[in-house]
Amino acid sequence: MPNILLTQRCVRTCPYCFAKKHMSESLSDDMLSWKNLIYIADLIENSGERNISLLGGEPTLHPKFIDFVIYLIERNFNIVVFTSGIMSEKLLHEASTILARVPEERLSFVCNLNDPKQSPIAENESVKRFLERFGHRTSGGFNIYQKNFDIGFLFQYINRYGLKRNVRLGMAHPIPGLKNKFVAIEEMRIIIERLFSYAPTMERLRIKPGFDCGFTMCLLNDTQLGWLYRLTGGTTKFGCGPAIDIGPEMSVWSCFPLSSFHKRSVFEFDSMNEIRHFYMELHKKVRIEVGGIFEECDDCKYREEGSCQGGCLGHILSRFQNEANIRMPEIYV
Amino acid sequence: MKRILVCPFKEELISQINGKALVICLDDIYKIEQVVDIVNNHNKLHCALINAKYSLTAISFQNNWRDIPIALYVSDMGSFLELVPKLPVLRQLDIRIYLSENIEHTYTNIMLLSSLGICTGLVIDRINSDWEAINDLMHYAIYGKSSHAPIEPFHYIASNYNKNKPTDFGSVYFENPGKYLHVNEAGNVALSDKELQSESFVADSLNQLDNIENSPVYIERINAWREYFIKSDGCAYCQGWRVCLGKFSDRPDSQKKECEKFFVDLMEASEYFQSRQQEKKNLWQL
Repeated sequence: MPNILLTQRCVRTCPYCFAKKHMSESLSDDMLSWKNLIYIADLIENSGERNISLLGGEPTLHPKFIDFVIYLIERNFNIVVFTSGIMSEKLLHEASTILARVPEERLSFVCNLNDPKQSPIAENESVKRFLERFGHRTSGGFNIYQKNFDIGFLFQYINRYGLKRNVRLGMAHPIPGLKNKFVAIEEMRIIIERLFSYAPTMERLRIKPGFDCGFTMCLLNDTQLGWLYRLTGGTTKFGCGPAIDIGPEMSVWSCFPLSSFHKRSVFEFDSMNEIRHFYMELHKKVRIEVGGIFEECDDCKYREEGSCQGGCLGHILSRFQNEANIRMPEIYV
Repeated sequence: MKRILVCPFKEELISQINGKALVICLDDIYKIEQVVDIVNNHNKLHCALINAKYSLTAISFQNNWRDIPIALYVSDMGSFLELVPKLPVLRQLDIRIYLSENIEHTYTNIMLLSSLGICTGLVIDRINSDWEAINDLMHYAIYGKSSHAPIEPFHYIASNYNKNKPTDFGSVYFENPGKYLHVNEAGNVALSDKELQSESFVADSLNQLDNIENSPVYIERINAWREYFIKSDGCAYCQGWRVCLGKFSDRPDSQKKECEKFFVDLMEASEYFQSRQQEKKNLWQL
């Protein structure tokens, strides 16, 4: 599902932000224009795809956010909006009046939630207001960037605001060439253990965890894998592939952590498949040099068979940053 | 050849016309059912040409206008969110929405409407046209792979283009003396709306309509294009002549290169469009 960035502006300054590099290299007031939206919609439609994610920055900061959503719905796309849930009361009122008419299966939200204990009160209040109105259309999302994280609040939100009973769990990854907070490779097993300490609660509340990209299969033991399989029906992926992000100024890149990695213009491609193929080939080249985030990844049969991709490419490319350029030229950022 | 008459919505005038195809000009779209009733008694309504002084979203479109051909000039598109509830009815109508290039965001609004299945037309009426923006819109109209409604005049030109003879896209705006004649309330006849307004008539009454092709004024006017070949720097020497036919000869000289480039691109696009049409195979039918 391609991600369209409506704006570069954001209301938060999350320490782990993996969009940071892209944002720092772009004009902060860049907003997707109607003309470019129509172009992107045409490109995606021609590629035979019907699902679109709208991202930012904070996508609701775009002055035409509601118009854009309705336009894409009119074009028969299914929309997922990734938001912080932080927006003005005026916009929230307008959105809940207009977007309420869109069938739930056509429009949903993923609300990136930060631990309320570490967030300003005004931010928490705004998020709650959003969830009161749109909770039934919303899946909670949480980005892990430190070992002692706490996701207990997610379960409270799910029950209080009627959120969908699945949570998107992401690990913060390094951005090659920039210092952001991320989960170091050696911390990943600790993270997984902590995550699975919530397993009984998730099971009791029938909440399904969904792993975002960058997790490796070997981080989980067989018991954990079995539990995950039982709860999710085997839908968990241990992936890292081109997500395809399209910026307001029509640049395109593989995913946020790799926003400087062979950034191109959308106009260079004729279809989403072409874009995906272009980045897939680059990913493959990197994986030829280094299979994955662990040394064992090189010989891992699960990686060979495609059950696991070997973790986030951001870790691998960061490793290349400080070495002599002795590998294939394409893999250097 | 039977000409289509473009005339105002005046019952008295229409009652004097018999057996003709008529384009009826009016300001009030809500009178179009009345227009159909009156015109179709003894004539045939070719199209209701509505020059609305309000935005598209101000109009309450009716389902029972479905079979009425409508050319609607609006002052602007209006708010997109106000347009959305009107789309289901609008898509059912036999309507083309005309937007002037003088209106802010016209090019984008035309793309937007077209992408939502509404036929549109760009009115190129600015003395300093933005030919680059027009060219962009033309590229969207002709080369755009995604399904969208036709955008005029590009679609008309691309469909009717013939590299061996001129293609007059004036018909899109009812401005083609070979096809349309303009009549005022008093029954005077002119070859264009502009000439009607400036009282450059080719006939003084409707009675002269059948003989109009023999009128010296008509013949002189219809051959007026030849003058372009007499001038050493006339539009006839431009590569885009076959499609433009001097329609923009009154534009400043600084514009000439830009409009030439646009029309050359348009002709190339038209050849592409027609080659694509030929590629479509017509399979046998049961």
